[in-house]
Amino acid sequence: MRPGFRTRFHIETIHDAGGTKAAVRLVAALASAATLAALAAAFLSSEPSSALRAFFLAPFGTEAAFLSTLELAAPLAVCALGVIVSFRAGHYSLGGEGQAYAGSFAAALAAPVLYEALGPASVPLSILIGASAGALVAAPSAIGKRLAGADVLLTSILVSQGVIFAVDWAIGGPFRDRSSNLVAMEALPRGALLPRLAPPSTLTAASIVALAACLAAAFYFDRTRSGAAHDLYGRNQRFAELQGFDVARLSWAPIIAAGVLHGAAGAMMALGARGTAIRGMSGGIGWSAIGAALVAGSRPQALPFAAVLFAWLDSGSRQASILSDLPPDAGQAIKAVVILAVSARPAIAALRRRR
Amino acid sequence: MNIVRLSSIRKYYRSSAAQALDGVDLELDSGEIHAVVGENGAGKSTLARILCGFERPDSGSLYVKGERADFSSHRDAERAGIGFVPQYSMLAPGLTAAENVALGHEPRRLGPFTDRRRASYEFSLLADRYGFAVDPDAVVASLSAAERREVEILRALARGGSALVLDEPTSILGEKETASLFALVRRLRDSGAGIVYISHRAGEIADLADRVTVLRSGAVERAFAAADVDECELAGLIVSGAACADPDRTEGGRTAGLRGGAAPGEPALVIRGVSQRARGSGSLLRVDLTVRSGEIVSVIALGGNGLETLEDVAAGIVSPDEGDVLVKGRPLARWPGRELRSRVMAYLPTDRENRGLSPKASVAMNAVAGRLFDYSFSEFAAGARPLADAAGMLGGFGVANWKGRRVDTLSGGNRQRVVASRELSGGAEVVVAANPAQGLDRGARSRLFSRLAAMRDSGSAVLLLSSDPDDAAELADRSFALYRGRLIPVERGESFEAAFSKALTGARQ
Repeated sequence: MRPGFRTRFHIETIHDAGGTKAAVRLVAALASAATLAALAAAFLSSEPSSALRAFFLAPFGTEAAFLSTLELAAPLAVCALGVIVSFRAGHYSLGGEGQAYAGSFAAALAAPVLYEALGPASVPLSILIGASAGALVAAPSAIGKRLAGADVLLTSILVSQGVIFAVDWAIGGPFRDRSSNLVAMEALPRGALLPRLAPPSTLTAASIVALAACLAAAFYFDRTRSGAAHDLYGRNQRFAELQGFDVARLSWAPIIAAGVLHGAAGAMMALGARGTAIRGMSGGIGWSAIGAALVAGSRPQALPFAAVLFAWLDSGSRQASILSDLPPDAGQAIKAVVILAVSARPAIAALRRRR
Repeated sequence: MNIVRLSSIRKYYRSSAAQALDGVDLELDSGEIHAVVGENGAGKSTLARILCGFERPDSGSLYVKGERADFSSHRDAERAGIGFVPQYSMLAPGLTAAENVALGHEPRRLGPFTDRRRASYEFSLLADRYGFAVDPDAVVASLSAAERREVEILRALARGGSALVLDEPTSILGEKETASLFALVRRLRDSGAGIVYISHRAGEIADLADRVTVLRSGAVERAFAAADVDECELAGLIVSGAACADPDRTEGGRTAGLRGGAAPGEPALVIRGVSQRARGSGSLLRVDLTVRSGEIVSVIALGGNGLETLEDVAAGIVSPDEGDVLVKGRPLARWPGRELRSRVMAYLPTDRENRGLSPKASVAMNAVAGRLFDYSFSEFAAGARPLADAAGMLGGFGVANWKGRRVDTLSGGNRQRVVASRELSGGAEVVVAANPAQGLDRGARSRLFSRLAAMRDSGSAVLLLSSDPDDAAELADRSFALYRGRLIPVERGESFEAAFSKALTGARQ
């Protein structure tokens, strides 16, 4: 580094020094996931060496496999960003899954029409429509919170479950592609999908969008006044009100913003590797997104790593169940334990403080 | 007889890179009140937390009645007979007073079910024994700060017994409650209990303590019998460099130099015919009060007479059932929130943890929160200007070593300084200061009062709400007592104290 560079270009932060903890959490999550995966392969499979190879090497064994794992991580990262936006405002919205599902459905519905009219320019518009559908599903919770102080945790999950049933019915019923064995909508035209960046891998531009969204969110929270107000509101609403922040807006806007992100993530799934909306395609993404957000310590800059970790667990366990006899749900169980291990850190830290 | 002995206790906090305690020795005998004193951040509360099992020391030993003890939780300390009354309420707000006292030791009925009636009965017996009058079935959230403190004390007494640790117990109590507390502490001492009394109020220590240990920067600076020093000398020991003889002190022992001389200006804060219903005796009944630019008006009350309700109304937390609150001639509710809070009104709340601070945010963020939107996009993004502003504000109130730290890693007094530094740095036209000196040591209190006086002199209207008549005597240009929701003017006559005590007990009605 040139002398004077640090002095001239050093950007100071008004936040506390807690950012370094995100790196520790990630390392702890990675270590616990690797250990658990190894234990699962050793004890749950009759072919431990095949299971281990499939779990650890298959998702990263070839360039295409690695890039496909990144593609899997992209919508998860965007969904987890929605969780962070909502949780950091103190709104514990659990409706991510329904919002993402609505986003997938709306994008898959709009994409063929838009493609016919606009050609490849339809892709961002389709994502926008997916994002709007997510926002629409989030709206009842936001309105309930703003007007009646309704508990976002309850309203979001109730609305989300209703939407999941409705979209399940729509995909399996009036919008089903009867020519396919899959319960899915008609496959979208190739030009209506997100452009593939490195065939034969499934990697699409979604990964770039997800990375950019994470960096933008990190800047928003760490370097903007609105981000600081958002955070302070989430930590102490009365304090935020007494500092003159627009608490009326903060009571609903983050819920809608989270819906937008969840909807966009759903649209990315439909316009990405899947190529259409499939029944149950968003299953588990809400839970995984909360897990990834927790592993990232609610820091958007750490989210890409957490999302890749979770994508590896999904991909690795699927590969291991195909290439060996490891139960396919092993990945979900490992995720659960990793989330527990990472969430237990404050308790462990408190114990260490006492010692 | 030695009840508790601490030997060479050390505690280092990595989160704040602070050596909170550095080889502290302390002995507590039965039948004595041992005061632990020192400036804000001296390590008093950390020592109390270690003694009560909330934290473990890095090194050093703890002995209870001669036996080596190793507390892994507060429950261990309770089993050893050590009760704790914390500086900040640790009660569960949604439970009743009786349930809080019984928490963790609930009387059972039919196996797993809590016997609430029995808990309530046992609470009443305990309260009666120690002369408290708290309703056992009152939900804690509805109690006044003083009543909550009484519940804390009863909880400690229910568990402890041989030793009681009181961490700045009078910081939010009025005169009457303080006198009751002192009487109780003396009774406990006379019955053979040992009391560790943490405070930085020289008057209290001189009045109450048998022995005094002075902490400075985490180490014992001096330990002596309280009878060996007078109050003035003690004050000088608590805050190093504090003047022993204050030239501004009048015969009555009050600092007169902070009172204003200039004629006040236009009405800045008008409370007109305000009535507000509240639980218990906290209601306000047709309160009329005007605070003009350039004057400090104090309202003093004992707990449960409506002071907290008046604070809520004056600060705009609640709209009154009847009447108006006008700020600069405009109804308080019609002020745009950002303009009111960042430029017009400064508010130092009694409940600083929930209203005055965002404890999990950084100290710097807490300091500049009120002026967040005064920065341009690029200024805030670069961070240098907000940090410089925070440094200026915090430095003005003597808060050191704050960079990169969260507020919840600061001591109680330093947290109050952070609130004061933010609220009193912007030159607000109206200041609502509720118990502003709570938790502050003598030096910080004097700095705060000087700042309030300077704001008054530069044209601000200051409404001082306090449970401590000393605050009014020292600072206010006009004073009122609040008794059962009604304001009673206090005239400056031959005896300020007598006027106050009459007004505070309603004798002037």
